[in-house]
Amino acid sequence: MATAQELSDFLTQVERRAFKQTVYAVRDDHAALDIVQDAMLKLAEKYSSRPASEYPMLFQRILQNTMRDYWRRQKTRNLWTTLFSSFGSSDEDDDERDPLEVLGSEDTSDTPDTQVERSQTIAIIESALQELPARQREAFVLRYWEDMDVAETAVAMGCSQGSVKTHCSRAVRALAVILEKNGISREELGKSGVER
Amino acid sequence: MMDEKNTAKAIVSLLDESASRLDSNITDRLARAREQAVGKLAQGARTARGHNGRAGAATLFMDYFTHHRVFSSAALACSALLIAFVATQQFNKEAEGQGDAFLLASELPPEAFLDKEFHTWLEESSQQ
Repeated sequence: MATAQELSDFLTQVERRAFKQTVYAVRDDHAALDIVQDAMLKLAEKYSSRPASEYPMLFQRILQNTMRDYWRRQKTRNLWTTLFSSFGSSDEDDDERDPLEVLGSEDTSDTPDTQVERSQTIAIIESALQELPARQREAFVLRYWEDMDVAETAVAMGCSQGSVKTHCSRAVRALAVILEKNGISREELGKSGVER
Repeated sequence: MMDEKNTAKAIVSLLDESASRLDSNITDRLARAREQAVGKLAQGARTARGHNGRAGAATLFMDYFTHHRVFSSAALACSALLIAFVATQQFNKEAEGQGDAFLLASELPPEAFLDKEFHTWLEESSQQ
């Protein structure tokens, strides 16, 4: 059984990333805060008997499920107000809209020059992440940002390891293409990014 | 040319930087949520301890006596004396109870033992 201190340390470690990844998914700071808070409370209430080593996986599953609950509620709420809700077509299937398919129609007039500041790069990346299909974003975040291996990511997402690899590959490719479209080459990205 | 993994690492590094620059309103709210969750965990642990009160008390008792051997020896001696005293009292009560039982189970009625003439007759009979 994990102690209160272990839970506190774990949440301190993940709360900012959890918030950001929720914002990318729901595009609303207040909703993201509510979702992260719900996930924290569920972890403490329902899984207090589990060892702290299981917390990363459990917390990610809870967080993803809480996000899905939010989307379902939003979908129902928006059903009569708009035909195309933000996540109306984003169920958990593989045949989601791929941003690569619509990149050609994106406006390229705001392409920044090669001296773009890191904050602008981050803003572009965050915007690109929000545009990714939900499953690709989820796979990317869990596999690379949460540093889970393929098997752990598959368990957290409830899909096969093959699907995880496909989602991750597509996500990285889409992000790289979006960055290049915005004038950020892979070499520049490599310079601005610090090896973890 | 960077491969997929290196591209992902570079992106993640920038995302980490973004996460480290969150607004104080958001970090405060996250901290409050965390404290609330930790409070829930502590509350759950207290409830569980309440349910396992006997086991918890026994564990505390054993731990205490393991760490205070001199005191535990004296306490054990006192306990033994107390148990002996209680056992003696209990034995005496039982003996009295057996005396009463003897009178009641006897062929003579209890009133005979209170009769002075019966005692006189008994002494005369024993002298003969």
